[in-house]
This record gives sequence, C-alpha cells and structure tokens, in this order.
Amino acid sequence: MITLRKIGLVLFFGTQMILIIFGYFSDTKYFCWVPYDQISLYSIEVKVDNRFLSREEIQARYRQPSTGRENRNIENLISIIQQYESTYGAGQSANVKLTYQTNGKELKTWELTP
Amino acid sequence: MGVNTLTNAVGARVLALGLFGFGFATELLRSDLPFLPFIGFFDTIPIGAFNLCLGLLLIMSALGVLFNIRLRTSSLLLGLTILVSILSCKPLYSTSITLISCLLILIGLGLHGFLLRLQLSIVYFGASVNKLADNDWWNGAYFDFFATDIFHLPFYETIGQLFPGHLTFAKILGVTTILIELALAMLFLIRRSGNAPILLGILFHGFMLVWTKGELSVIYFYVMSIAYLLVYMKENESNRGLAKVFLTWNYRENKKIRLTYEHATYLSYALFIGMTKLPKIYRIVNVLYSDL
Repeated sequence: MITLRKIGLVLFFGTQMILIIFGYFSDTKYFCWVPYDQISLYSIEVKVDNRFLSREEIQARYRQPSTGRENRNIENLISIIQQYESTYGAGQSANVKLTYQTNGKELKTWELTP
Repeated sequence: MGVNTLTNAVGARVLALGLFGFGFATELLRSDLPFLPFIGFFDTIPIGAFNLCLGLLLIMSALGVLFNIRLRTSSLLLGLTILVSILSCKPLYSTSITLISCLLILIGLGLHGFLLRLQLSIVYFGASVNKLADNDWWNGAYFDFFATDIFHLPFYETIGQLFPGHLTFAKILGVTTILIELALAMLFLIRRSGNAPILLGILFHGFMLVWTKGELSVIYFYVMSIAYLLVYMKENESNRGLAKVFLTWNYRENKKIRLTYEHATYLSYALFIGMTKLPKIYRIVNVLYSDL
C-alpha cells in the first residue's frame, strides 16, 4: 500500500541519488556527499568604487573568509561570489579577483568584472 | 522505554546536541537568513519573519528532542528546519550538518535498520563516485598536497620514500580511499555484511582522524559514529544485544551501573567534546615532547 511515509522516503532517497549524479557532471558540488574532494588555498580581493574592501568587509559580503582553505570544490566558492554579485551586489559593479591553488598545482586566478 | 524508542532517543539527542556543540545552531540563530539561497524563492520571504520562524522551530524542536516530547515529530521538525536553513543560505552548507539533518529526518520518518544502511550507502557512494572522475585522486596530487601542505601528516614522507617512483604512496592512499568508500557503499547495502562496514568505517575515519592529529573533520567522525551506533543498536533490537548492555552494565559482580539513555547521550557528547580538543592536546604533547 502506498502511504505518505513511503512517498516521503522515495523522494528523500531519490533526490539524493539525483543530486549525486548531477554533482558528478557539474563543477559545483553541493548535496552530493563530497567533503574533501579537492582542497584549495585561496585569497579574495574585491574592489568597489575604486576602493579595495577590507578582510572584514569581504567576510560580511560573502560570509566567507577573504583568505583561507576551501575543503570542497573551488567552484562552490566561485558560485557564492557569482550569486552575490549578480543579485545583492548587482548595482555596485564590483571587481572580484580570486587567486587559488588547488591540490598543490599552479596558482590560478578567476576574475569577475562588471 | 522500548528499545526502539530508546535508540531513536539516543540518536536524536546526540545529533541535536551536536548541532549546538558544533556552533551550527548559534550560527543559524545569529545569521540573517535568507542569504544567497539555493532556491530563489527564499529571497522573496522577509528576513525578519523568516529568522523568527526558523529560530522558534529550531529551539522548540530541539527542546522536544532533548526532553523526549513527541520525539519523532520533534526530530522530523528539527531535521527539516536545518535543511531549510541550509537551502536558504549557501554559505551555511556543510556535508556534516546536512547528514545530521538527514538522520534526524529519518528518525522522524520511523527509522529502521535498512533505511539507515541505505542512507550511509548513498553517502559513501556519492563520496567515491565523485572521486572516481578526479585525476588528482589517481595521480597522487590530491593526497600529496593533503599530507604535506595541509595536514603535515607524520611519517608520510618517511613511508613514501620506501616506495619506488614519484608519489607512489600518495597514489596508493588516494586509490585506497576510493576503494574503501566504494566497499562501504556496497557493504552497507548488504544486510548479511553485519557489523563489517561499521568496523571498516570506524577504522577508516578513526585512522584518518588520528593521522591528521584530530584536525580532519571531527564533526564528520562524530556524525558517522552516531550513524554507526544507530545501525548497530537497530540491528540488535531483536536480541536486545547492545541495548541491554546500554541499559545495565554489570560492574564487579554485585555492583550494577545502570546506564540509561540519558547517560549514554551525555557520555557521547562528552566524547565529542574530547575529540574536538584532540588537536589542542596533540599540540601540548608536541610542545612538551620538544622541550624534553
């Protein structure tokens, strides 16, 4: 017999499986059970109105430290910055520069310009 | 109290306490939500009203779990509250907290042994599948960085020198991790595997935690330990194996110590607090050792 509980359980586990498959093909890794799939050391610089934001301002802006270690895919951090700048910070025309080193390989830079 | 209720109560309580111990609950109560939500809809809800609702739900359901008031409903509500708060704020996302939320939801939906095994199997499947496609896990780049630049693993370089070729040891560690996670995903699905996946999981996570001097996600180890304990207790309900041990422990023949679920909860919590102090303890030992 199909009960509400059974439907809930199928949805609960089915969604997780779909998210794992989605995560496999996607750069951002959310809800797909992958902690420590890669490690990046990073630093964020943000310039708004020709002024560089302080560490505290960057922390308040993205709720992420301006420098630190990302224990999941670096694309997760990029998605946070992108989402902020395309929504709450859309009118501010910020220049964002993210410098990161993933798994000990060469330094890379990702930039967002207005 | 029935053994089934006891298991749920222990599990839900330790998970709820973990939420406060990890600082997630206080972070949630302090945060202005929604903020950069996963689902755009959340941005249409006024911040004040949303915060008030989430805060009230979190406190009420946590109290319900801690004081065993409508345990399953409280557990489901607490799990859903956490899930909604994560969905409403991308920076709040954490694998460990999401797993706590899932376990609480399962307890709320009427947890039984196989559902828990299925949940753990999915967790390990996700972890291994995503690593399978990542070259850095196969060529040793990930583990070498992890061991030398991030966690400074003791004996890593010494052991590595015993192997021929560049990064051979790192490659072995990377591939072994993937294989262990795949094995755990499969073993948890097979009921006949009994306690084998639990033992393998404890050895795997425990070894990594000790090798990283307690710096690698203590929270994850804590949550996994609770999940393992729940599987073990659930599967021993019929013969009241561990549950019986949990309730009464014979100590020196005639002295009997009754270990109620309340004690079990707080003992587990104390164990967690002890584990979070491991890096500090290690540093103190290291300083003392270098002074000698």
